[in-house]
Amino acid sequence: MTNPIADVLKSETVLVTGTNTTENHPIFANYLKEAVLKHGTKILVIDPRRIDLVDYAELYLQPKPGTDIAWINGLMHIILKEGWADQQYIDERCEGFAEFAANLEKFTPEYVSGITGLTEAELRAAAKLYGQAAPASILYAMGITQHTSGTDNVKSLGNLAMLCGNMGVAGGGVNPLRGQNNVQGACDMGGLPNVYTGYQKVDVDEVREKFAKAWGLKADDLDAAPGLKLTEMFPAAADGKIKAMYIMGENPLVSDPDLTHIEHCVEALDFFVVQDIFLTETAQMADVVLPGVSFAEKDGTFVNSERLVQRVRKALTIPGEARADSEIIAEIATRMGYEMKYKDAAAIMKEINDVTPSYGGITYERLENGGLAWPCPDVEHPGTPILHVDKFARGKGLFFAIDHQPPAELCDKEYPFVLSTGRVLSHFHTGTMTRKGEGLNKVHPEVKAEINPEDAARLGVVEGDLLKITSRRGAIEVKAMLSDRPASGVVFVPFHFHEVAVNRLTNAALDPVAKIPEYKVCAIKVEKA
Amino acid sequence: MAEILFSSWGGEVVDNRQKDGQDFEPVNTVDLPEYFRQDEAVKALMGWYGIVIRDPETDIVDLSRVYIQEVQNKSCGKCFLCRIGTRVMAETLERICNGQGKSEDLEILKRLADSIRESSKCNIGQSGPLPIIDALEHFADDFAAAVNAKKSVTPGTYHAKLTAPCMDACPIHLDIPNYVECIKEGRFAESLDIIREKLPLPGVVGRVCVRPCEEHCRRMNLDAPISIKFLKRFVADYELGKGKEPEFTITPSEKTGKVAIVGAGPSGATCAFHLRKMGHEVTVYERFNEPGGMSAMGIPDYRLPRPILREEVDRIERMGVTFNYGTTVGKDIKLSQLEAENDAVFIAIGAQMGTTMGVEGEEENYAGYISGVQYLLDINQGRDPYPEGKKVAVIGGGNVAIDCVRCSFRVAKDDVNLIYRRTKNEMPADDVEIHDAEEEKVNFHYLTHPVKILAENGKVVGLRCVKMELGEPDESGRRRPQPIEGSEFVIDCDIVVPAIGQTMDLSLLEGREDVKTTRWKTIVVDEVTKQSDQPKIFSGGDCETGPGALITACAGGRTAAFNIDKLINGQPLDYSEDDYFDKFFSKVKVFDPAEDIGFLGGRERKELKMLDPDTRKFSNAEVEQGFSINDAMAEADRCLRCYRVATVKV
Amino acid sequence: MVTLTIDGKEVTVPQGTTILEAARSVDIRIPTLCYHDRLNPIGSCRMCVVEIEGYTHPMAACTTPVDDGIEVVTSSERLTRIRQDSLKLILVNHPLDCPVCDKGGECLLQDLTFEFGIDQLEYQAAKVERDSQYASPLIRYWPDRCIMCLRCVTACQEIKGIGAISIAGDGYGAQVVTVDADKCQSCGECLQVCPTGALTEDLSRYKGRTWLIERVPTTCTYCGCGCQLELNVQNDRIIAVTTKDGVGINKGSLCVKGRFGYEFVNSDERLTKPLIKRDGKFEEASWDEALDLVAEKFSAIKGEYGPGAIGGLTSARCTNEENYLFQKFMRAAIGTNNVDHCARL
Repeated sequence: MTNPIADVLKSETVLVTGTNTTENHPIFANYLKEAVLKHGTKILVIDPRRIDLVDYAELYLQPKPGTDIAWINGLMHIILKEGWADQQYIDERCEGFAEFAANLEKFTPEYVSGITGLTEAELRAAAKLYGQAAPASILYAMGITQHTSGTDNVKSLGNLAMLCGNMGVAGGGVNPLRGQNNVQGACDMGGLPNVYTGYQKVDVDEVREKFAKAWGLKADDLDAAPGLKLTEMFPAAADGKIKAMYIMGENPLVSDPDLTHIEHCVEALDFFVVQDIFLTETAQMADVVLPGVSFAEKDGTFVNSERLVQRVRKALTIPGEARADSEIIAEIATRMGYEMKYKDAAAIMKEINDVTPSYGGITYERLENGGLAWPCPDVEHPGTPILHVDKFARGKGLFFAIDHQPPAELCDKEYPFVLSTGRVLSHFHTGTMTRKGEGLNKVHPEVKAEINPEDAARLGVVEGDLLKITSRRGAIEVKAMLSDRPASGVVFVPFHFHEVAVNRLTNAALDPVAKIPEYKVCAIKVEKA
Repeated sequence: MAEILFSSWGGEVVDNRQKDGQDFEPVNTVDLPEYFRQDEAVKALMGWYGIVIRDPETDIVDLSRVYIQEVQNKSCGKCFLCRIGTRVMAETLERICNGQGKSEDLEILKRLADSIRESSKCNIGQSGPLPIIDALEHFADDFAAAVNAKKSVTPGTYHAKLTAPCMDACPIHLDIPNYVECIKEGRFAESLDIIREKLPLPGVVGRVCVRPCEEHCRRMNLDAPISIKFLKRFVADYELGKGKEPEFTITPSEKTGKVAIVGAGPSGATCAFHLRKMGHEVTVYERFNEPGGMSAMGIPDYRLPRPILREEVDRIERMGVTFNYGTTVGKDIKLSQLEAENDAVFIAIGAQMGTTMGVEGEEENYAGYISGVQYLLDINQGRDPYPEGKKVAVIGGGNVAIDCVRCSFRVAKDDVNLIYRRTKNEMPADDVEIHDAEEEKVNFHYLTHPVKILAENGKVVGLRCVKMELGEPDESGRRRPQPIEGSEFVIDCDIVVPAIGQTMDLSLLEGREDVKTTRWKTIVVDEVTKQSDQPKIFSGGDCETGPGALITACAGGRTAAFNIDKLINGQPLDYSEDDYFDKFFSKVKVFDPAEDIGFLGGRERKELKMLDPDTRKFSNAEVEQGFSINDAMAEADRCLRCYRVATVKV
Repeated sequence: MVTLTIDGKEVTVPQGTTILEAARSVDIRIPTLCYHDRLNPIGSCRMCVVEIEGYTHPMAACTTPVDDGIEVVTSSERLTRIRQDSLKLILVNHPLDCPVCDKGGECLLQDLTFEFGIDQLEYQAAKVERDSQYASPLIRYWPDRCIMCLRCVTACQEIKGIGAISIAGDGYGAQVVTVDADKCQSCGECLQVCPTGALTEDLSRYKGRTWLIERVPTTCTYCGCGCQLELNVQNDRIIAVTTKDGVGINKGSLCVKGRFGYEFVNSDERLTKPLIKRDGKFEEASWDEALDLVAEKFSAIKGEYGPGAIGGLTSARCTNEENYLFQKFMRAAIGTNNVDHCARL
């Protein structure tokens, strides 16, 4: 996020898109509600799903799934024509405007209406609500990114924010909501194939030299080419290029798209190690399973959506013979001839401080007094709650000219429905944690497919009937829940439930840059089972 | 003359118990009616302000029991002391009345009464135990006897009611403390539901109500009344802004029928709303092509934007009421036909005609002479009634006169004069309206009276006036204005707009005799049931009361609806207990402007933002900008929640 | 700014400050029960009544804004009587089941009863049977313990914007009910603000005593909000999750997962020994055995196919420190950039 969570209290308008905030980020949703109820903030929801936040919204638009670039460009077309753009901001702080503006020409309300199914009046009202507000914030999550056009969707939202001068101001910004406790941290720490910690690129010589030195290696010991992304690794296994995999605390055999294919890939591996706290669907396929520990049994730090680094503290003794994950990693490295030894988590953080400029000043000592937002280069620095104040990190904000592109898989006669996947309030990701106890299962015991009552009536389906949902890749059976959240023609199924693994259906088509799968759109057939 | 035996009302104790009838001291703090219903003499009253006893046979202990039980029933339960404390008091008194009193009971009652009174959150608890304290003090012997007697008391007959000063003052008796509290708590939809139980036009009334409630707001005794009107507007606007369609549930009466309503103004619309909610088939006939009657056509857009009014009436239409616009009853369709085809007819045609001043030149049909009502109708329909004219003289001191002057700016008249024969103090128009007109730079000519309309070639060229001075008070209590001899002068103008009053066009009655009318051309109906001498015909609004408040017209429509329902269901149109309490409280005042509340005040009343007077006066944009959420909640928080209970022994 | 005196002490505070806030700013304690820092003043308990010189009526300090020059008195015989009566009236029907109440030891009503020395009750009223069931299977409502302070109602409305809880009935029979079970999201905001044991966490009933629990502050393991919470630990088990008001982004709120989704930690299904698959079946192994096997296999594959034949997935659920080590392991020990995690899923 470019701005802190509490910033929405200062926003005049908040555009909420591709995030079911009340269920997936309930505490953030508190702030949105407070903004509406106590500060008169107006919420504009644009989402194919009629999420609960719509009840608090000033305006709600329900576009067809997979048409984000079209409506974003459509809003910008209107904003520009009406003179609501912040020209001074654009001139002073951005570049690439002319080409970008030329590209918007064709996105007339009429044209956009044809793609998105939104009326021209809706588009105009939405453009006004965002375009005339100062400041206005944009919130998004996986509903924007999990598309083959995910990267372009995000860039388009960036365009919109810059167009109206909303970047680098309190109450503005473009704010992706992070879905997992430490997604931000895993990225910050270099858990990505192209960067070390703090987004230092692996293909930059000086960077490699620095890390080699810090890690007691020669620069040549470090791989200079970016590695494979997750979504590329499994196909590479099937091709025989990847022979062994080491997975720590992930469950791709429920979470990844086109599961049947993933299973074949994993079977092709020579050696497969999984480190986890449960014998997950993924761990069951491993050659060796190493028992790690839960967040309650270790010290460390997590980074939240606001880039705030906060402490995790050990509260329990480690069960049985399980070992701290860092200890296991260090042991394997040492046994492979590369010695790793750390006294405790604080010692690891010390090393992170040393090699990561943006984490330079984030020490355990300071974290005792609450979180710190990076960049925080030294121990005197107070942290950086808002990014891009006064100037963009890269210098000038770059406008991108982006065209609409349809989703990878379109509906046809055989597969007339669109399937979207996502989460529900009471469960988390692949359910490895939330489905282990009684409590949350009492609240949300079983998976249900949300289907519009109109569609249900047409299919002769009533609440609780079993549906058979088929895509080009597989089929599942799931109980129906009649709901006006999805528009007619769209079915929503959460992915927490391994017994009804919706990812048997999803399309592994990827965004070309971020390699994110198109979880939000695939073509399906729906029948009464 | 039934004298008062004992009174502690308003803190002034008059005790005539030991005196002969002729020595009775009079009671000045309250005017206790002799009768509740025609056949029920008022024997005693116990309420928020004390005790009044007329009948020596009154059992004070039983009266206290009934009264505190009623207080307990009405306690909202939101603060500890009132919720549980009044219960303990009620059970204790119940026990005493059952002959099971204990010696410590009276002490418990006194201590609790003090604590509840001193610390309750709202006025139910603050006022509730007060008469019990009076009773324990002045009737100690009776209580002691009751505790010691150990035998049951014979219960009497009582009427009890919960009211509040604002609620009582409101002609339609909106539950103001309740809906204001909802706003304070952010429950805007619930607040609106409470308003709509009685009033389907919160957005309209929230803009143009003359707000008798605020004149009876107890907060006034501390600092300033709360802004009840604009809080109502706030919740209405909040819903409209969210584009939410309210849900109205229709609960059909046992028998449903057909009703025709003449006039789609506030009274007709309210009547239609309630009849429809009771499942009746309702058709409304309206001579204009849009709803609202005089409130739409007569109130300028800058005060009441027409989309608001249209939407609120359209919602009634969407409930299943048929609206026939552009249909004049009496011309396009006969009243007799409506009577024949329906189970009842409600006439709410308003006061559509201007009255004349009786000034020389008025009958000449000069170009530039236009009645106030017509002037507003034209402007509100987007027409300049007399484009040639530029200088306007409006005569009158009411809200219509103010509307006329302020509207004049909005059709680009730059020289606008208002002529009123008394001073600003006597002006009946709303103070806020007068203030706004002053801001917009209307020339006010007080103590001025028109004498002759001057004309050349059939066109108005001026108005000869005379200066006035105030003499002796007249029957209305206002000092009568008298002309000052030799003070005549001429106001240079080319438009003269008399706005001194309105009257009714009752031609639809075609002179029939079974529906009586008054000499002021109003329709005679029973003041409570709204039924005329012709049982099928009801009437309400201005054509019943004469030109009056919009909320009164709504109240008339609502009352008529319930009585029409009774008629259709073959039930007698009896007065209800509430109706009798209305009469009762017109004597026993619910609001005492002199009351010392004993609270710390000083909390500022939130005012609305206004458009700038210099630019707004030439536009039809709404002048008052509604409350923000924060301001609305803060304003609602000023409410003292002055609920109070009265128990009448008959 | 407004200047007033409280118990003779001069206080200057901004206009709009309540008497209670003004008093707190100079460390004068006025007893409160329904007042909660995160909520707009409710004014149901009347414990905070104060007297103001020149005004006959005591005023609730929590709802009354200060005024220039007023002289506030926070304790007197009259105020003590009112406060005692308020407590006594609550206790008329409040069960004295403190020994089995999960809130025992941290109950505001207990504390105030103690403070005001309520040792006898002269008031009596018949008990109203309340049978309303709380909507959520995770939160238990004990109607008899409920003092109707309305904190839960207010919190559900003001903080969650939901309004799932309301009051039904009037006067003595009034009680807290869920308006609409579908609206309740089991977030436990009501639990968090309840001053007594009227709302308790139903997962941890009778599992611990407040004075024996250790509360370890940490960060939630679910979504990216990063809520600050406290693991309530007794006998090396998590028996509840609570949070401190005003701390972290959540400021005292949690969601259903954060508050109730802790059972997995204590699950019997937790892995406690390394497993090695032999003939398609897992067998428990010693650490040395497992670690040596992994190190050998990785070394062998690296030797045969090069470091690029090994891929690693680190975790968006692990700590920074673990992620750091994992990527360091892949890059330094294995020698590949084939490291990623499920940020995209």
